[in-house]
Amino acid sequence: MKKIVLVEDDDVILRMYKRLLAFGGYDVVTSSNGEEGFDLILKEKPDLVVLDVMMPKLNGLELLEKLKSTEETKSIPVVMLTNLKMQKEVEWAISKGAVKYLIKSDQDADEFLDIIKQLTG
Amino acid sequence: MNIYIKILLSFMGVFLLVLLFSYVISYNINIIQLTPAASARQKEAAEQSIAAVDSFLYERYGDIQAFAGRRQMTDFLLDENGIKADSIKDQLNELKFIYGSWEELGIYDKNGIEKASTNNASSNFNIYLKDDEYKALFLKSLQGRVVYSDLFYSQKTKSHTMIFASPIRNEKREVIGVILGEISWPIITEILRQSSFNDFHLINKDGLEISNNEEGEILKLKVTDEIYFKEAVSGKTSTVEKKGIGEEEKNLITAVPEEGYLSFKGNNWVLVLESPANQILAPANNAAILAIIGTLPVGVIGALLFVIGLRFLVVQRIKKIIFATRSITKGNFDVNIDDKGSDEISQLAISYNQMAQRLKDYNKILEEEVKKKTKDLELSIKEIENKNKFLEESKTAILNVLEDERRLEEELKKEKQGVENKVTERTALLREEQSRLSAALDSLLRGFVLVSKDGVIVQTNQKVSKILGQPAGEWTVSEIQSKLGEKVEFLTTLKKCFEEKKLLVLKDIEHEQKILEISFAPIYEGLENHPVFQIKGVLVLIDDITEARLLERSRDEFFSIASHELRTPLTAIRGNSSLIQQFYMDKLPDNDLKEMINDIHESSIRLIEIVNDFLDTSRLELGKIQFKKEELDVMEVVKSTIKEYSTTSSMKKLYLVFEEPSKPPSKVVADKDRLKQILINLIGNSIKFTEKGGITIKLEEKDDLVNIYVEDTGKGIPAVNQKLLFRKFQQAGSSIFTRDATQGTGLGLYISKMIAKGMGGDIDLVRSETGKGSVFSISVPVVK
Repeated sequence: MKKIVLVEDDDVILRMYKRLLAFGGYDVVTSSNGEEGFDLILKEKPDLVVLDVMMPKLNGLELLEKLKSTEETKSIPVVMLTNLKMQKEVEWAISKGAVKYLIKSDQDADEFLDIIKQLTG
Repeated sequence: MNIYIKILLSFMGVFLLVLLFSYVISYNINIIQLTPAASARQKEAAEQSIAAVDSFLYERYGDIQAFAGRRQMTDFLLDENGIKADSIKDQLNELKFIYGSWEELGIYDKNGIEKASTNNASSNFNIYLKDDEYKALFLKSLQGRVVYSDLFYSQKTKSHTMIFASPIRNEKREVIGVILGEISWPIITEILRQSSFNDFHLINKDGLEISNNEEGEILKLKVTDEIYFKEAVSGKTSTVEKKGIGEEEKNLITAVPEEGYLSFKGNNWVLVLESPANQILAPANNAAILAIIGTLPVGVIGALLFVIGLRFLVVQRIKKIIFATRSITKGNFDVNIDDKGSDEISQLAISYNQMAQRLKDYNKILEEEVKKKTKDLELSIKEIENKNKFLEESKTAILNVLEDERRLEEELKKEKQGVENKVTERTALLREEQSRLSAALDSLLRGFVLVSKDGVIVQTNQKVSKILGQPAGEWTVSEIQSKLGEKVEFLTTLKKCFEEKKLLVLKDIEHEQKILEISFAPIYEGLENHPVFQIKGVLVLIDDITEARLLERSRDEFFSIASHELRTPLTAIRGNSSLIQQFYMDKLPDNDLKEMINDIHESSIRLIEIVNDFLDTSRLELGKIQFKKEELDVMEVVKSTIKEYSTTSSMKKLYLVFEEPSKPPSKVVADKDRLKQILINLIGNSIKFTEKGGITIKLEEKDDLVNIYVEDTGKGIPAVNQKLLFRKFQQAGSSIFTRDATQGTGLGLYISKMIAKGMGGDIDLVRSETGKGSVFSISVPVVK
């Protein structure tokens, strides 16, 4: 079973994605802020990381940069999740090594799972 | 007589005797010569005589000219104002007698018919014009000049005569007649007689005497060979001592060439003046003095004898002359002094008798003249009385005219006052209009600057100074430029507006913590595409858009935050409802429950779309969205979009086909995601509004653009809505109350248009017909 770490500060959204990924057959470990998220990823070494962009303390983009500059985590694929599609941030995130930049409201459950399945191969 | 005077006279007589004696001696021995001083005196006297004649003739020239200019002459010839020939004749006679200078005068009409003259003898005085000289002068004068003839022998006056002629004109200065006047030689001789010369002769150019002071006695002697004549003909005055013309005695002869009025052609006549040589007190030369000294003793004895005989020989006879003079002084001209004998006193007596006779003649003439003049005067008085009456009438008439004029003036004054009142009224109105205009302009929220064709500001409002930040005053375009700073292309744009004749806008100008927008609008004269169509000026509007910009920014912030905050719960609704649909449907026993979950899911999607549209609109309007410039194959974009819609269209049983062009189009420059967004919008709309048939996509490359046509067989768009189709919140279905809430926000096409334009292309409705369908086009620029 593939392991996914999900970092999301909004409980409702966190619960929804956790449930969705579980239905998709993944082992989901969650965190509600960037700092804890980083420790969790270091510890769990997941197959995929799904990061919310806007978060307190360490935000998603900062966490992405940290992950990509850390030897143990830099090869783990990262999917960015956001509510606002900011062109600059998208470009920045892709340049930093994010594999996908998804807008949360744009997909239905099945569409989201299809994307995740593709990324985890 | 005083005894001393007598004695003095006696001695003078003696001296005279001596001189006479000396003269006789010197004459006999031919040694007396004319001195230069004597010659000069003679010459001067001769020239003075001629000058007197000249000035006399000049006065006559003036007479006739002035006479011709009289108003009455014109009226008479035109037969106006009742001027009678008798009146004119009286005036002519006046001229003739008062000056005594004219022989005869006559007035002729243009055809040479005599109208009035001084000649009483003949009623047909046209003899003038039968004579060549008169006729020639008459014709000359008809040309409009005052003219005069040479001195010639007139058959009419039987003496040498000069004639003068002056034209008579009407009010238009046209010659309507001529006045002719003649002056005869005897009149001229009267003037010459007043000179110090005894005799004078008029010699023609052939050296022939033609006239002299002895009336009727022309000697016709030839003087061609005489030295004085030759000198005179060559233009010099000379004096010689010689036997006089037709005389035995020796005279001093002075010949003067006529250069003045007497002969108008110059040097034609010579006037020869003579004085007895012994009358000229020429100082004797040495020889004469010697002779006098030699004969002095004889003179003394002679003088003594002379004094004794003086009383009997001279004094008694002179006394007679004195008595005669006293008698003449008292008015008795009938005197006759014994003039027998041949001495000087006898000569004096002869001259005296002649003088008395002449005086008597003159007196007679004078009396006749006075009688005639009195009669003339009476006539004149009568005429003056008539004139007075006429003047009196004229005066009344003039007073009437003046009264009329005064009334007219008053009326004019009233009229003027009326006009002035109107002007004041209009001025006030204009001023009011002006202040109304100023107030209107000042109340504008924009800075108003009207620039004339020559770049001069003709009108501004207060807002200009308020926006640009300077106390109100007169602005020039260059002052505005310097106030805005070099970076702002104010003058350049103004110039461009004059050249290109179209609206130009300078956007987002930062000026003293303000954001300005300056628009330049050309003002035209005449109609477009017309020859006189030309730019008259430019209206510059300066907008302070700081507030508006702040508002836009806060609106955008509001949209950003709102959509972010809205999206989170919407995401949860959409995600969870789709989770239920996906994984828990079989656990829902009730069909109603399933349907409700579906509705929640669909509504959440629509809400998310609305939020997206609002956010897009805000960003596009602010220019915040930057378009990527990707080189794209339109065919691929179209194909992938169709693929996404294939399920939706097949669900509605509509066809969705792409008619691939035979030749693939050029690559285009566009933002792939945004191009797809437009396509999705168009195809989505088509599917939404089509119930039967389907959608066809076509491509066409034209003028550096690739056009994508989306053609459907839907319900079409009513004509009234077609124009507003790309406006904000517009839907094909007219008003806000009838809008179909299920069909979206009405922002789709508005956003699509902004995106298409932002990428350098456009989006348009090609055609649409209710019930038959619509064709939309998207154009995208090809790679250059």
